[in-house]
Amino acid sequence: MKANSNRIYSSPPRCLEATKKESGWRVFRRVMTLAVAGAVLCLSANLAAQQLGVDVTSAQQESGTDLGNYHTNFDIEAGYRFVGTEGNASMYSTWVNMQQGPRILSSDLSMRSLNHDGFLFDRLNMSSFGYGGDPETATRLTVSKDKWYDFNFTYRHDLNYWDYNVLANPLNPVNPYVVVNQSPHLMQPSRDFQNYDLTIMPESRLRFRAGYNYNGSQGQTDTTFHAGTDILLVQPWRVTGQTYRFGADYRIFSQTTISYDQTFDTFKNDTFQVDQNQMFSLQNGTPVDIGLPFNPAAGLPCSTPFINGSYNPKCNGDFSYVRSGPVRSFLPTEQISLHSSFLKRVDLTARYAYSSGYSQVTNYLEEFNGLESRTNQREFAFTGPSNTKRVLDDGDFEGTWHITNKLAFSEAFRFYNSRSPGTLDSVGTSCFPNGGTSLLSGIGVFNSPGVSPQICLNGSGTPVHTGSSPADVDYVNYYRYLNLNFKYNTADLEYTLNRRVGGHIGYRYADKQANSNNNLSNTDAGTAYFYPNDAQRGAPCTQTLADGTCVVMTPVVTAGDYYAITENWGILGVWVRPMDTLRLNGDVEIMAANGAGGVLFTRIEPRNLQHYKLRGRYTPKKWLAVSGTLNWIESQNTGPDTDGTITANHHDHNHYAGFDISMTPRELISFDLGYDYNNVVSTTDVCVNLGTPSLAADPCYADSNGANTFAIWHYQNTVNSVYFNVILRPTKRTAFAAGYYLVDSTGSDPLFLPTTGIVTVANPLQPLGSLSSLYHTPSASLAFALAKGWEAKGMWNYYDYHERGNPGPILPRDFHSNTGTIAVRYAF
Amino acid sequence: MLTQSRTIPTVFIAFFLACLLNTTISAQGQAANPNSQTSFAPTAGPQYVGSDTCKTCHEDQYKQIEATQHWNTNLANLKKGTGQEWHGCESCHGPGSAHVEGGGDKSKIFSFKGATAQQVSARCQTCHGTTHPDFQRSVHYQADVSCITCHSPHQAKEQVALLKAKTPTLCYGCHTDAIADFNRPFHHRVNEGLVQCQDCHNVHGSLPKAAKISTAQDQICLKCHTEKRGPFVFNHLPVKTEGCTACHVPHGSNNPRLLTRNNVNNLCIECHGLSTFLTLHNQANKYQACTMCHVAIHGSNASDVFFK
Repeated sequence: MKANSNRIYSSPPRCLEATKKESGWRVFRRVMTLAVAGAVLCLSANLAAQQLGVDVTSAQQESGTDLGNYHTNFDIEAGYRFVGTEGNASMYSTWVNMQQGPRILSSDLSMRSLNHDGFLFDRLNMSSFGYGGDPETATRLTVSKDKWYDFNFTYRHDLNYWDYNVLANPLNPVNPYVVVNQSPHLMQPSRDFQNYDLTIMPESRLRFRAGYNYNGSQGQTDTTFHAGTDILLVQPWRVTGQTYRFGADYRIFSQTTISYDQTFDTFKNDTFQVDQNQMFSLQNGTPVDIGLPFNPAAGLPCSTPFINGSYNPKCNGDFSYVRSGPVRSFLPTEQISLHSSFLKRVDLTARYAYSSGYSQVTNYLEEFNGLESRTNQREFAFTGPSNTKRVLDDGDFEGTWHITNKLAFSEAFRFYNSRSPGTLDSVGTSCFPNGGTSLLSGIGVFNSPGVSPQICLNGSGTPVHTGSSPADVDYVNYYRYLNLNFKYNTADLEYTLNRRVGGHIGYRYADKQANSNNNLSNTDAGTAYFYPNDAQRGAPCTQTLADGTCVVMTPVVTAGDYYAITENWGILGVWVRPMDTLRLNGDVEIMAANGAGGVLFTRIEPRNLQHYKLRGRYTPKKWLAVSGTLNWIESQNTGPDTDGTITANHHDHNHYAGFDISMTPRELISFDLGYDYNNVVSTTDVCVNLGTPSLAADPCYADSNGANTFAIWHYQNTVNSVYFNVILRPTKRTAFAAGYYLVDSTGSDPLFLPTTGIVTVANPLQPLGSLSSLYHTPSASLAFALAKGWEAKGMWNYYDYHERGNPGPILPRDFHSNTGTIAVRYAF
Repeated sequence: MLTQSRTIPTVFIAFFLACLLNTTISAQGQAANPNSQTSFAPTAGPQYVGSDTCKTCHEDQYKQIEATQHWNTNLANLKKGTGQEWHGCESCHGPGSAHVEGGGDKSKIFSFKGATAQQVSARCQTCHGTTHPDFQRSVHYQADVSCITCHSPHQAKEQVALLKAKTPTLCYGCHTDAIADFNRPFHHRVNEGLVQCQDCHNVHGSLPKAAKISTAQDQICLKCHTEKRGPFVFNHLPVKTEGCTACHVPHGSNNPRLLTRNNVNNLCIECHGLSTFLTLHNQANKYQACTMCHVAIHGSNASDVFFK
């Protein structure tokens, strides 16, 4: 190793003298021993964000030690966590989920070669946290050897518990009282993420990259399915996504690099659903699932669910339900890109990616055994493969012309074009009772010689249909197509007046087109078979078979929706540094959109938008920093809807303002204080079914035969957040920290009915939940230095959640929890 | 439609190659870009003095650099065929002879303190331009945020990437609104350390601005939420046309599932509350949650009404 000698001054290379190689087996052995020990410790330990409170001496302050050719810093923190929770434990687990037990709270290892030329690596940094049972666990590792390689590895594990009981809850009326206290869409899977990235010869003219991502998620989840009533399904979750990446960068000449990337994304979903919620029984003792909604007055699951203590067999119910449809997707993507700043005053960057892949479901199967009283189905099955392709072109080009040292013009163009044709060739078969509409009825047989498959062969007698019954056998070929063609162009003029003031002004044009035949008015190619001599439920027979079976063939109609939306944006940004200690940034974006026929993608998509941002940071002293943010968004959509007589008349605003003050006036004290205000208001004109007929004067009356009522939906949410953190170091051996965070949320979502002047809510049983709540989380921690490198630590966290107002007809979600952690930290 | 859309990549590739050709031709006869390394090449002015000379007065800074990968610029064999402008302290601060001869005159050498983002990034991009080629087109750059706003070659708190602080603390320094967002009851696990800002954001610039895209060119959300990626036979169109943020607030929210509204029905009816939407269910006493039946609302392979 030799330092550069091509200089006009020379001095002894003292820095190099101290970095002689300690070569040989001894060094290798020490390095390997340390690396293995570090790996073991860090893979069983944790740090970074989960580090416990405050430290007497930060890891950076530790002097470290020289081991062989490596200067090494190491830090580990292990302890025990105590948890006491009162109130809604599910909510605690959804938001916090810290559980009791021993933990290795954090660990850090950093090694750097003293002579910048290590045997296997020059640098190694590894940090990890959460091992031993915390909900979030991670290890992050970077290893590099100068010009030979860079390697990054991340492992993350997440216990994703989710049970907020308001969501998807049927909110059964209190009387009769059948309460659903747990979210029907509960989730408690664990997720594992792994990421490997290797760059070979990172500083060479030609460098290679390879990588791999793993994203696996599995565990217990619940879901629901609508079959007359809404039944709870157990859903063992098993989803895996993997990405393989290969790439190379070639510096064709100075400041000009061309890159190629090849990725393969694979995905498989083996999640299935099964009903295991047969909690009631018929008079004959057969277990039956009556569904989650229980509101006899509204006919759920029927008007008289129980007779003599047993479930009424004429009501909706489910003996068994199972569904599985493993998904397999493969999306290879190629990307080529160019970056160049070789030209004297021009920077260029360009990228083009092409992706052509598919998603398939080859073995879809769904089977129901029960009763759907409206359609009179006693059993049904649904199967059929689906196949969806996706071809995608995505690219961008951006060039910047540095007209002068102060003035630059940039032009950026991006396009995204995807075509996604999909097919589902489904076969639906239904068996109907051979007697009355009842769970106790057997099923009739449909074995027409002209129809395949012959169904319900384990039944007997004649199936009985109603006017709402679907076909006995129904083949449907669904053809769907989605084409998105988006283009964006931004022209921007940047000017730097001096080191104090600068800014940019620009114009962006967006052209967004979508062709979709995904709408419900489509007719798909189908052949439906209706039982002989029975009502074909309104459809005229295309053909009648010899035994009287009615065949209805439907030609495919692929007319779909077409959207063509243009957006015009004005962009302005200014930065000001009136003094070195103050930085101010202001940005304004104003947009106006229009669509073919005046229609946008959705009713609430902004037709006009104004976005104002102001950020400032003032650091008058090294120990004092004041930051502030103002973020103001206003949007409106007062244009026409896709159909109907009313317009959305949508107005939305999102106002945010906040500041943060950080002070460290002396080493023995530091302080952090902040306040944030956020206000979201949205009003939208809607037609909504409130369960009572609307008046003839109501704008929604005519189109809905009085079913819908015109309403102005008003959503409002104001959140005030306050926080402070203080750290005290009263002696050289002690450190103390305390913190507090408060989130105060208020809100409402009333309906104003202009026709009658009434202000109401859609569902009086619907609680506001966390929209109107108070959540505060104080904490305190103490660290005491026992000896050099050793610290004893303790931390207390308190979580308190309280909802204001009516909790709804379910278990309240309030909780409070004390979490205490004691730990020992060792660092060198 | 397929054929028509092919014209875009064809035009694009042609333009791409034209740029490449233009770049190649220009390289033969033009002076270098002010952002390129040769802009710091020795001229008739100051000469290079070597890091050891700098160390004479700036020993603390030298020691700090010595602990970082930047010190490797002192290695003579790092860049074969390149000159002394690549070496040591002067690879960033420029030639130092005038500064030395001036008795340490700060005006005679490039100082990062007080320099504009434009000047700072030009220096850093000399070596890091390949790694972060889009930085000069980033929102940060346009806001006069330079490399040394987040990175500190001399006094980094984090050895990885020489950051001034760990993320998200570093990002919170300016983005105070994110502090509030990530402390909401429902939030992505950023403060907990599971997710990092840079998992979703490309702080060094990209197109589209701010947020990354996944390897399959989808929204970055789908990198983790893979089951919602599809492609599906039946699409819920706004998921594709407006993206996840049409219904979700990505950082944090007081609403469950990071929704923009407190209950699902409010969210759905804002778009589906049309006068002709006859099948809109009675909101007063049943079907309280749309997603109780429409469970596959992000897309489905088996139900055109997203039931399964």
